[in-house]
Amino acid sequence: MLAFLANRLFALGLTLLLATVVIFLVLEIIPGDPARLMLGINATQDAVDVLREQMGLNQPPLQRYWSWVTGLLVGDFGTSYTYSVPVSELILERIVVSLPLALIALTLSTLIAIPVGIYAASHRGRVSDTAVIATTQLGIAIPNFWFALLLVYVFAVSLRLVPAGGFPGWDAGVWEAVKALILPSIALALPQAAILARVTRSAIIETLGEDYVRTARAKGLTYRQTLWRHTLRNAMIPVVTIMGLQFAFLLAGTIIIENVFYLPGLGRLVFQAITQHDLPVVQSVVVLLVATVVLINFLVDIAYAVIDPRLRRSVS
Amino acid sequence: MSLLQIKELGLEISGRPILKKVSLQIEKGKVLGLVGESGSGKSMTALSVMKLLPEGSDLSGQISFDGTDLTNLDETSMCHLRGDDIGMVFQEPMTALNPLKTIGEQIAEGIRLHRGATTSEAMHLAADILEQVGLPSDQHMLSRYPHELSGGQRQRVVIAIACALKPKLLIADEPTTALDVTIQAQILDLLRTLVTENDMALLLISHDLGVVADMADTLTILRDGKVMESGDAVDVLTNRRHPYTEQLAEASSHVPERSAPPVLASEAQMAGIAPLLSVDKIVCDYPGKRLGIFRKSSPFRAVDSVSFDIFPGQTMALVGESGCGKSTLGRCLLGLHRQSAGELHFDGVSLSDDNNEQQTDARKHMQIVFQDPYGSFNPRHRVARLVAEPLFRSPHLSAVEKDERICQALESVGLDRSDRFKYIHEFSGGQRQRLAIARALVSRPKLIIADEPVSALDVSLRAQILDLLSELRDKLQIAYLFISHDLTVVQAICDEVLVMRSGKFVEHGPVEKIFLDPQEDYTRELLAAAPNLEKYLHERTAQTSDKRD
Amino acid sequence: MSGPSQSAELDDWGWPAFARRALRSRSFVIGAAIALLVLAIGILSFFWTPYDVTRLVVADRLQSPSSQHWFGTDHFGRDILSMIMVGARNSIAVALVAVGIGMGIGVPLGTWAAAKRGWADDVLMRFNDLIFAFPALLSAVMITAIFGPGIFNAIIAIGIFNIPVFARLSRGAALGFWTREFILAARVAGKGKTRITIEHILPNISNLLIVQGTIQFSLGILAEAGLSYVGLGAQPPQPSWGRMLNEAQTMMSFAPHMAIFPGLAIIITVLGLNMMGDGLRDILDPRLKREN
Repeated sequence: MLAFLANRLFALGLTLLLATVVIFLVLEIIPGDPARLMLGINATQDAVDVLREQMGLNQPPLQRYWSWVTGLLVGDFGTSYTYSVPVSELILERIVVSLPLALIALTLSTLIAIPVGIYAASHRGRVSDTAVIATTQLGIAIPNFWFALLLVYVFAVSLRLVPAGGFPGWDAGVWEAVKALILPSIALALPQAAILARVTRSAIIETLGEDYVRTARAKGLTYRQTLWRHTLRNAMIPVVTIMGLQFAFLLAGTIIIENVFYLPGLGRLVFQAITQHDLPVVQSVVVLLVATVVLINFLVDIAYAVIDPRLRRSVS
Repeated sequence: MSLLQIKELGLEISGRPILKKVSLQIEKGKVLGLVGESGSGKSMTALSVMKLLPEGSDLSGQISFDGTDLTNLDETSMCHLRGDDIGMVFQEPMTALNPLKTIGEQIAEGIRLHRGATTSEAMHLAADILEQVGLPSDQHMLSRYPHELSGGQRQRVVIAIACALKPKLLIADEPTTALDVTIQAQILDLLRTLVTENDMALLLISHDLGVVADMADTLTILRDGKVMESGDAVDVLTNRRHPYTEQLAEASSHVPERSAPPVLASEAQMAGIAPLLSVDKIVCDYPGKRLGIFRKSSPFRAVDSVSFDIFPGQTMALVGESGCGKSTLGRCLLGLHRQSAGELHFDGVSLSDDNNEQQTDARKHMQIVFQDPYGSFNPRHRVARLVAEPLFRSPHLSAVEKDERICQALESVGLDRSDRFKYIHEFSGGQRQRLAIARALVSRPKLIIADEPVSALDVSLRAQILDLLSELRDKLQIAYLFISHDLTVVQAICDEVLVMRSGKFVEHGPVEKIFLDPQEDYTRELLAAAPNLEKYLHERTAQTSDKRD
Repeated sequence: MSGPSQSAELDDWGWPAFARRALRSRSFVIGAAIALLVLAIGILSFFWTPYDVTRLVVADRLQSPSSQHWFGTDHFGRDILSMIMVGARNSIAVALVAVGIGMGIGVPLGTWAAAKRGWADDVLMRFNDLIFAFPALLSAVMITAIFGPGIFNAIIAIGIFNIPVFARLSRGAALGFWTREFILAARVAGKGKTRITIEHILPNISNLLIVQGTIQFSLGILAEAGLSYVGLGAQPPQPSWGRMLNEAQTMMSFAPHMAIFPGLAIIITVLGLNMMGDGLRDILDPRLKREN
């Protein structure tokens, strides 16, 4: 188990390191001079040169990469070009919107999907199963931002139950803040729930066909008992995999959803930063998101090992 | 009254008839052997008794167990019977256990369910039953997971689950088919002991007449869902009144005719004939499993410095149990696996060097026939293209010549010329194995390596393919390296035998000598464990006549 | 005992058998019909649309659906039905080329790694892990933002993320085939790895690739809509379903039809493609059908 963890941790570190290189290289080839962009086309060349020196743009790339990565390790994410404040401050300000949003959405999606998936699998071939299949098929096809528009139209514009957009901040009270996140998280969660429910259903059905389920039946267990005692845990591996992928997707999905609801989250921050060529912000947020994804993959790997004793010994 | 009485059992699955008026009975404490080839419906008969049939099954007739009519019994009552009064053991031990639960949990589950025992009581009982099936508790068996056990051990666990509550009837569906012969003998012994000690009845399903002749009191032979013959096991198998019984019995101990005397190494050497294939101290390793990014376990030595010769026209058997390295050795000879050390000479050419033209030319005279008639062909190509594959090394042949070669190959294995335009799914298992042989023949080989070529086939097909291989050998002077775990087959067709164990040769000699006068313990063990219809019948008739005297 | 008959079914190949099974799959028939309809509409839009989508008729703006304008008009007075028709070809083109990029690069990479094993395999898998570590949408936003918004860059951005999908799929499937006996027979016959990949591996993994291709196609349509919606895909005056939704957002309270119809167009297209993919999976692999 220890060797397993050490090995996964090493792979995690390696992926992260490579990711920082990729991000740095990609942003390196962006056309346009950030100093010129900040000062505008009317600025004198001298002013631009001074700013370039201040921003450290005249240093060789390797040195800039090194100072960026070492900065990351101690929590120094650099200073935003546009806002002239430390990037870490900006991120902190925004993450309190995006993270709760993604977490609520993931919880919602899991709470809906897994029971629905189990129900459909145990009623395979009946009308209720067919209805679940049809609904999830539709759910997968709906773009979440369109669904969001629809939710806004129905619940905010017509029924006026919740605000149509914006975020009052957590200072305005937890309920007010959560109220602003309800529609966005539903818009994010439902299409994901459709995918997860289908995965759950087919994982269970596949497991029900295994030989050991027949052994359990031959022991005298009823269909329902075999489902709960011998099928669910075995079927969890693909479900956990998809959940891991979905969390990453939900984090990134906030880019679009935050645009629909005018939420001041990480997605909007990075989106604006990209259009404004605010490199320190873009770099940091992307690294942060990649790190989260890698970390989730690590947790998923650990979850596998917890579920499956066969993985506790061997490595991959 | 019989413990289990099946009367005119009929079964249709999605409208397809599977069983047609099957009747059989088992007396308390007795063993019934249910025999048949694949598709005969023997497994479905067992699942009908358990009422664990696939969806869309339609059952008719009557199954009465211990005075209860099972056909009309509801699911709840069936659940009470299953695992308590009727236990079942399945064929494939590798997949029959839940990989995520410990052995103890899996055995205790049934005990708790039927006896309402507490977890610790059930675990105690589980430890006892494990002891009975030969898995002592001092090895922490209860807390182990299935993947930590070997195939034979897993089958013992499955038997422990089935017998935990001492059922009145134990159903065992091909319980030893997936196991090696020595393990098979142990498992059969275990079943015999459990049945006698606990006064259980056993429904033993098998395709192997040898196994049944050894174990069963009574016998029922099924074919295409119909009962062909039933009665006392020794009587049925000795007198063979039904033509199908005769056919099965003949096929399972069939020896192909041969026109030429066996080719023996000693004689060939004296006559100054050069060996066709000469293997000198071959070593094959598998790379170690990756343990970490920088760590690998040490390589696994599958074949450990073995040497032997095959002479032109000779049939050499390579026997051993699974994992002994026999298939790896075969693959190494074919160049599918690179040897780590040693020399290979075929037809006077060294095969150890890197690719050269001579080698390419020599290699086309060495071909292979695999075990699985279903996995051996690309389903996307027509037969002509499949059979022509080895001609890749003969680019000088014109299209017409190639076509003629294909037709010849097909005809020599008893198929029709016109078959070359068909796809593989249009052929049965036996026909596919003929195609596999045709593919090997097309390049006019001097040596065919046959890796378990009849193991996946039913006995009657097995006899036909053996006849074909023997006939081709006599006609075309082909040498075979016959890789097999089945000693009956080896005895029927081979000239010399190599006995392999853990990557090394244990014994080597002419087939007669090995079978009649084995020198090594391991060879003796293998021979003793191999089910042999004639031997068992002989023993049992002797026993009964002893009793009469 | 079920083994042989099951394999026999799997081996059942050839166009007549395929067509017979295809017509029996309701999911495939409906899905394929929808996909073909969308394709036909996209092609038709090159020759004819009810109204000219480049002409702005301010007098007709924000009309609700009527017999003149079935789906109503937008804030510039353009006919929404016509715009959806033109948008269809945009969506199809982006998704199709993106799938092409993914398959064209991913499949050779994946099959190569499977044939070569060893370091090539390791490098490819690490590369895959790396790309999968970047949330696809985020990176698509980055790529289009760096190289400038536009349809061409949107295609590249979506295409890049299809590469590891196909690489991983074809590698896994090919690895499974390399141990099959018919591949060993081809190796005994002296055929090289490239030849075996082309003759034996590719035809056998094509089923999987087609099914995955359909799924990636529908994902591509969703991704294009998302990018266009945030302004990084198709640029004005090129009509695009995603951009139509973007423009509809501010008019939601008084002209909901502007959002509803393009949204429905996306949903129906994606639904059709997914149904076609599911149907294809059932048709091409009977083993999976039993499990569904």
